[in-house]
Amino acid sequence: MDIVSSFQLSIAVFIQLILSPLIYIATNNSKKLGDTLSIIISAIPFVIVAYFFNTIYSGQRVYEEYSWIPAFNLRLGFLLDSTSYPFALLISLMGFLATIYSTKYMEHEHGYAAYMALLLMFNAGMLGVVLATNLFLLYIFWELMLIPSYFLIAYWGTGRPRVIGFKYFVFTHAGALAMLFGIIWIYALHGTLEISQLSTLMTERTENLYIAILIFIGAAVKMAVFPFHTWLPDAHAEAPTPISVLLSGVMIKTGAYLIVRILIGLFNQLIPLINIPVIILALISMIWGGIMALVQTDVKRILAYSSISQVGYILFGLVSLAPIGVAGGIFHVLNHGFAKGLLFMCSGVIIHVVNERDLNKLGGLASRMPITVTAMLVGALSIAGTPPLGGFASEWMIFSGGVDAGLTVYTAIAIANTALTAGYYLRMIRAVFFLQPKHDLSKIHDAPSTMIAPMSILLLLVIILGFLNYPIVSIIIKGVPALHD
Amino acid sequence: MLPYSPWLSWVIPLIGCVFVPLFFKLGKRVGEAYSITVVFLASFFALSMIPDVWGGKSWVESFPWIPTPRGFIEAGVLVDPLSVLMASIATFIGAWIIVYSVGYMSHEEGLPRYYFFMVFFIGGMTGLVMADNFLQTYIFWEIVGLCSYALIGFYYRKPEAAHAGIKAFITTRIGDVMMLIGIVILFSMFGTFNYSEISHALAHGLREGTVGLPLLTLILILLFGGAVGKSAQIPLHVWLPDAMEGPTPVSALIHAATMVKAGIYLTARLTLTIIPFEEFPPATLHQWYLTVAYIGAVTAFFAATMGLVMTDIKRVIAYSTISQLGLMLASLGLASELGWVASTFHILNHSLFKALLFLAAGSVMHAVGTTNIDEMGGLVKVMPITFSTSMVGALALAGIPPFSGFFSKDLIIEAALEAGNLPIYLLITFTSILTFIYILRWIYKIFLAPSNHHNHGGGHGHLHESPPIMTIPLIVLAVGATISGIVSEIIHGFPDYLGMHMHHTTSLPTLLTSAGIIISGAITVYVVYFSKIIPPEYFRAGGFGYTLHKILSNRYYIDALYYKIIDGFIWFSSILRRSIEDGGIDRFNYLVADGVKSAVNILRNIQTGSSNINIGGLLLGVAVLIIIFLTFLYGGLW
Repeated sequence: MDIVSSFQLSIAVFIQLILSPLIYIATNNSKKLGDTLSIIISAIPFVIVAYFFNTIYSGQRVYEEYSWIPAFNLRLGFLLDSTSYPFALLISLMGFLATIYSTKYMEHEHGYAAYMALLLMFNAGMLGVVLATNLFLLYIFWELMLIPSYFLIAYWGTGRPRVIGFKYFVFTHAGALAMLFGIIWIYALHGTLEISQLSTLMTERTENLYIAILIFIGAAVKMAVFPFHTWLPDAHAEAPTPISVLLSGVMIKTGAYLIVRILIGLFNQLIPLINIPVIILALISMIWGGIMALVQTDVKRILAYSSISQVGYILFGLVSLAPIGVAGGIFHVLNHGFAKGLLFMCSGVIIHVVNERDLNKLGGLASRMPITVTAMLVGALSIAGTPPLGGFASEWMIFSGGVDAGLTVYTAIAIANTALTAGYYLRMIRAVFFLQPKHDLSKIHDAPSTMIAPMSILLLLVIILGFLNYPIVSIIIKGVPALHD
Repeated sequence: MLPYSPWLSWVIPLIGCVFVPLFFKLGKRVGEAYSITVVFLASFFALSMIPDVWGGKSWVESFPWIPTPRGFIEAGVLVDPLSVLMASIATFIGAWIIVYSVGYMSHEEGLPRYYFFMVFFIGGMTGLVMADNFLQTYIFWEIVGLCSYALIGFYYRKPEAAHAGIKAFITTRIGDVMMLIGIVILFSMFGTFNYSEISHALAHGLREGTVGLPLLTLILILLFGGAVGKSAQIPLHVWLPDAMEGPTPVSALIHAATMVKAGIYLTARLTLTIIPFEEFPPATLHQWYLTVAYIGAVTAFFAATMGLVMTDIKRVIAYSTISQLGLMLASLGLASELGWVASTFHILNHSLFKALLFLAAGSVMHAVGTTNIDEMGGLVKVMPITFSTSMVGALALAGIPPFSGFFSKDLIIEAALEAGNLPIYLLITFTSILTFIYILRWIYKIFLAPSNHHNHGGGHGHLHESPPIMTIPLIVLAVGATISGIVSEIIHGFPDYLGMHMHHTTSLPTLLTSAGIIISGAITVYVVYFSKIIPPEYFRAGGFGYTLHKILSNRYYIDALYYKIIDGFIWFSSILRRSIEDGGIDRFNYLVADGVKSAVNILRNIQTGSSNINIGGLLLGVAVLIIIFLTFLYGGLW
């Protein structure tokens, strides 16, 4: 495979990080200037990632590296290949859209400038995770993603943000520590952390199985797989909405990336040993998330539990270890990311406009908010696996992977669970948008255009990815790591 | 054939629907005219294919679509008499129903939404029947389900309508889940979704012994599950009567003429293309065929009994739809060529006369402003066109010659006799008698009974016939329902069109059965309704009659049972939430957090400043590090 060397990747990763103080200063002086700058800066990574589309599509990889800590055989490198491309695209696009959305949604919040600066750092951390070429760098970005998000939840969240933020921090940090232990262990065994070098070194040693389990724990906590999931509904529901968009739509997918890149990519001889228990965990997650979403009355909590359920589908596809299932899992990362981002943005519109998020107190909004109701219905049906929307396009691949792997009964359960998904979403939409309004709605209007714009882009993507997905799916298929028979 | 008809007949409405809201921005009339144009255009393309497939000709067109690790999935169309028949029904009847809507929906809000989903639906339905593979079929299958959901819930402010939409979506989704499992298993086995490729692979697999008959039967039953949901058969029939909350043209188009036929279409497609009789002798798959036949026949009978007691003008014919769909399935399940032809012929006839009956019901509701047939009556003088067209529809449904329903019902009975399946034959015959009774009861109560509506002001002040924009579609459909049977009988049109050269003459037992149905039905209707020698109230008077009426009115308590199950599930979920999620897992987290906190407090006591303890701790730490280091170095302990 051809390698294209570049300098743009480090710009994509670092620009938001380095310029975030500037954003803070600029926003403090003039909101308008700060907003413009934030939007431009958050767009740069997306432009860079999109710019490489043809390169990746033609089967090449984009790579750059700098010497860093020679003593530990560590280099500072970034790699964009067909495995990381879907993740990088999702992260950079959603980061950009969430920034636009924030400029309206958060405008009257306290400490707005600090919020924007932290938001950009958060974006940078997530992008770094999927582009890093060695595990040490990956871990650094893993933490860089965690710390700003803690502050974003704890300082701008609703409910009991400090408690919830702390819970989020402790939980995901415990996962990160398990992962760190695994990474150190790899270094102790093999003397290198470069992913490209490790791929030839991994063998069926027992230690490697323990390492795989440790790294899986790190990924599972991040993805909020049952029973490590209880941080998610709190954090995702109480975070400020643009952050919920990023947490649910993007950040939990870094766990999926870890599974694809490290567990499937490096430990592909070992992962068949643990895949059945993981499949069962995935099934429990999807059913449990669905059942819990059915009995919630808070719009954002329903969406949060739905994320737990959907992560179950992603995990199911990935650990089915059938090529089409893994490809479906990665594709579902994109589809769920766009659809869930869209749904959280819709919930944000409801909160912004009506200042209410309890199902029992909402109702009849459809006539006043035609765009939001359309977006919410499309996003929800996509996640419930309704063709011709994106969610179906990836879910059938996941299910095919399940049957290919000989897991027909498990797959049947997973498919049946989509009826539950449709159930809780339609229940939510009915309560929010249909029936008789409970309040006077005459003064209510649909969201301002700064919020509608990012929603429209996502809406379009959710629809188009359902049937015109040829380029992105062929990249994803190329990116599926070689699987052990 | 017009160029690219197999594609354009569904692509035009699918793309065209996107612009419906834009044209409505230009004005209501512009939007309506645009919608009508789009659908008529599609119907020209669809109808133009009829000469090309006449006599059973078929062909496939396809192109690469979705990449998978095992190569491309192709998108394609399968043009054969069955698909062209269904496409013509969907677009042609659809077009006239859209015309009717202009009059019927004129006073409603949210028209762009209405026309968008109607046009979208017609595109989806046509795409469904033209598809040459399961993936495409499933995609359109769900698109039409989505449109059905949106249109049932058109009056979304009304709790019943919002509820009925969800009920329809979820109930059919249960069938769809089965269908998707079947499709995914097939894809996993053969790496393709294509009908003919799957059929060849299955035949090959059966010969080689790599595919077992039990597996094939299971897959077919799973696929049939989708048909049960979509065509509202027992036990998934509960959504269709509630779907009558939607606007009447929606009921006519989606819940009578087209979408509910998708299940019949799928079953017909399975027996025609996937498991053709020549390659897969019906005897080897008799379990599957019996399942189809019995689900159809039992549904037909029970739905007809419920149709007898309903008082809502649309629910009577909704139960009738369920019942007639059951007849079609029963006929397919007979596993004979005659049964197959009878079933597809009944699809055509039923689409015409049932759409007609629904539109007529809409016309009545438009005038009287109520949906209860007990509060109507005497409309024959006020609404002559509506009455005469409804009469055509009713007679066609009741199976009275020369109207179309007679011919296809005749064929179904003939097929049942030919198959020698007595229970199915009896169920079909009793169903037909009940059909005769409930539909003439319906006509009698609406049009012929003494007027009951004097205390209702009516919808618009005084009673009047509907405007021409509504009556012209009625007349078009009435003409269709009248001639489709005769034409076929005279020129052997329908079997010729399908390319099935059957030389059957109606046998004496069939003739006797048909005559028996008509005579017994006619006597009952005359005695109970027209002359009131035994008035209908008499049947509700006794203990048994009262109980029976109550059971029927409550739909055999099946709905109630399902609601109990769902309520139970939600109740159970709340228990799970309280006890495990919030009370168990989440509390455990806080327990751990509290435990850490108290552990820290204990450790705080150690920080005495005493150098002994400090140095001891330090040494202990060094020792642990050394042990870990040695462990790694030698790897022995692990």
